[in-house]
Amino acid sequence: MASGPPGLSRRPRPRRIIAVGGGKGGIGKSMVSANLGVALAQSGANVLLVDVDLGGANLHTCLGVGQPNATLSDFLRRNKAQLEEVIIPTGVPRLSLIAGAQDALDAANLKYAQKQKLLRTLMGTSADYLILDLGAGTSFNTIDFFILADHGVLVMLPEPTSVENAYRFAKAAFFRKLQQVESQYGIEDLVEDALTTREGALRTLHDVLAQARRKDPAIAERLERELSAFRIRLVVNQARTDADLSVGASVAAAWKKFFGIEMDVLGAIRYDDEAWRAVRKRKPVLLERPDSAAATAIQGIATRILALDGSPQRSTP
Amino acid sequence: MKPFEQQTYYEILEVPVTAPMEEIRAAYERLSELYSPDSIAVYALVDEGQVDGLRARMAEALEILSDEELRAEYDKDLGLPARRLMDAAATGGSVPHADAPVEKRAEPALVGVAAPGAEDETGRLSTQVPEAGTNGRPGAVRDVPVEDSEIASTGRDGEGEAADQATEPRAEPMPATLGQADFRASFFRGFSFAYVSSSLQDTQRMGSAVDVPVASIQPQASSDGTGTEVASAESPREASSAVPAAPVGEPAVAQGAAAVVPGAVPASDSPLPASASQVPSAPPEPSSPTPEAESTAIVPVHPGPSAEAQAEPGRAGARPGRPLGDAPQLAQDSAIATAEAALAQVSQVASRAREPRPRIPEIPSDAEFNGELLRQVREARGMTLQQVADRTRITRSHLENVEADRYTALPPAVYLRGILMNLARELGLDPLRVSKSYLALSSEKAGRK
Repeated sequence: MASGPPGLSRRPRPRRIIAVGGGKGGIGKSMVSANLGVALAQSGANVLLVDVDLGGANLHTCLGVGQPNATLSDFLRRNKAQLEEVIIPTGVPRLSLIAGAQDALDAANLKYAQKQKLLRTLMGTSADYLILDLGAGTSFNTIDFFILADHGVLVMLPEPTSVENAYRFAKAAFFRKLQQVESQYGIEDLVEDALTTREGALRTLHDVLAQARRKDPAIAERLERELSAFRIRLVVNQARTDADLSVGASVAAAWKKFFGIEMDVLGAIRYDDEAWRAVRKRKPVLLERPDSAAATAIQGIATRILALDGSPQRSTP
Repeated sequence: MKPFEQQTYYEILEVPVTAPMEEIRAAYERLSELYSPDSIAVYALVDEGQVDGLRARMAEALEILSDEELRAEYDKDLGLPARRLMDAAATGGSVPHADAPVEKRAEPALVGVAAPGAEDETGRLSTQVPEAGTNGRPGAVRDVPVEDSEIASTGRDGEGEAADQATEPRAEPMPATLGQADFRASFFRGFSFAYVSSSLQDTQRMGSAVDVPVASIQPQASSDGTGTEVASAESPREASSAVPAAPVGEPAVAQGAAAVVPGAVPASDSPLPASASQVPSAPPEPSSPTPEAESTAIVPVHPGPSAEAQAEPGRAGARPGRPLGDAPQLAQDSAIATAEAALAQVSQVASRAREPRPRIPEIPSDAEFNGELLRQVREARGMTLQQVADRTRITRSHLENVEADRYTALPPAVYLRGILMNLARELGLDPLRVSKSYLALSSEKAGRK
């Protein structure tokens, strides 16, 4: 490896955390994570990929790493374990991996303390980019990783099922965010009310704000700013038609219309047989077929992320 | 973070308050597609009732904003009027009287007022910012750039480039052949004269500009020159068919023509106080494509109507002055007005053709919506009668009768209106316009009121 495992360098906190989620399973979250990791590493950043899909880890397969010896569950179970011990190289310069849990049947049901430990440790790694490949679903385990990230990347397919789950995921993320900040603002009761109403209607987010405003306009404003600072970034995967390519923009527009919250669209990845073939070969499409449409799209997404973070700083070896 | 119930009509349609009619309609159509019941983007987003509520608000917004008087009234409620009235006063001072063609000229007039004696500069300005005209939405681009990202969410960027290329050759010769001063002078002298002179100049200019835009404009222009109304739905379709044939020219047509639209619409309206009707047609930026566009419309000198134009007179004769629907009698007042109307249509076609909506590129929003046109839209949408019937819950026989223009077989107007509104919504058309247009036809033909 060109540079040592990112965990060994001195920086206290990863520069950026990217969490890749999406609610629905099988929409290419791991594929996006793996290739995004490759793209960012190729652009000169030190990248640590973490497979947080505790129930169905397969990021290592996307990268062609083979069955890992050390996984996240080793770290979680052993008390004195160091995160560095479970970081494995991927063969791609500057890109390393923490594979997901393989064995423990209950690994998906992370205990609170374990999650805290993991979060804390991950926050302490010093890669330029920490990419968290989240599992499907909207459990708090998943959501908490998502909202802690600098870039919450929401992958969706241009299909009703996936869009539905993506919306649910986004709503859950916002309510979780609201729950996190509630104590700061003294609006526990409001949030409580909002959360006990039907999940489908994030209309209550407006209501929460309206009530908070009645209570204390200054707080409401801060709350609003905090919520709108949390931007979900969309990636549309497996776009088959030109119309599919614009689904991301439509979703972002509709989301804004109803909830007044901006979403960014990072890009759309065209459905690509090359990507599928690459998965079959257990290689990231970015390495296997760098010229394919899918690879180009992912490079575009990586570029946008780098642009969002300002100049793509190259890490010193 | 405002729930849409509390958004203003402008916010609902995501347009700047200065948006011209054309832009408002385009926005409405774009959004009705986005928030249509089968749109993937709203699936499971909120309660269906909320989406319905949004659509109702959108229709309401269109209804208010597309009516000059109601819009002026609404603006006053919003606290907008001060600025708009001021603008109007600025232009109003230089406008002799408030009849329709004058209002149409509000835009060039404003140019004059804003930059007296700086004609050359105005000309240059137009070459510097070609997007203004090419967009057909001058207001959106510069007034509220923030809105732009939303509006342009689907591929306006590439469009802009294409349009730029097409614009340059047009804008270039402008100062030489059609100075603002000439234009303004002729404008004040009288309209017929203005038109003759500018059209002559324009002919010249067009002769010198050897690029494709000319080719694609000419059929339109010459058909206007025949002096017949281009009310029929045929004309727009011809236009759009001409447009893809000459891709380079397409933006040019749009540019010239789209700039006119805001003016052309009030032109056909019954006379309104200058203050009310001028404003939307007078965005603060000088838009010199407008004079060009107007002059291209009035090119009687152009020889023989092309094949495209031939289909029109018959239809047009049957329903004179229909293109703008609102005030046929005014449209008949002069050949100029009708030619302008035709141009407005062309413009809408052209601008529509640039819209990233390949599904129904050929329907101008103020075409006459007869059954035939509705059928064509439906087919362009790839929907069968049965599908429409299923989705709108309008019985199939009604739909068939609507499409066949069997007015006598249709239910009374009050029900027919609902049917048409639903159908239009399903087809992604402007419900009010469709129902208005169709009901006018049916009452005309069936002698029903």
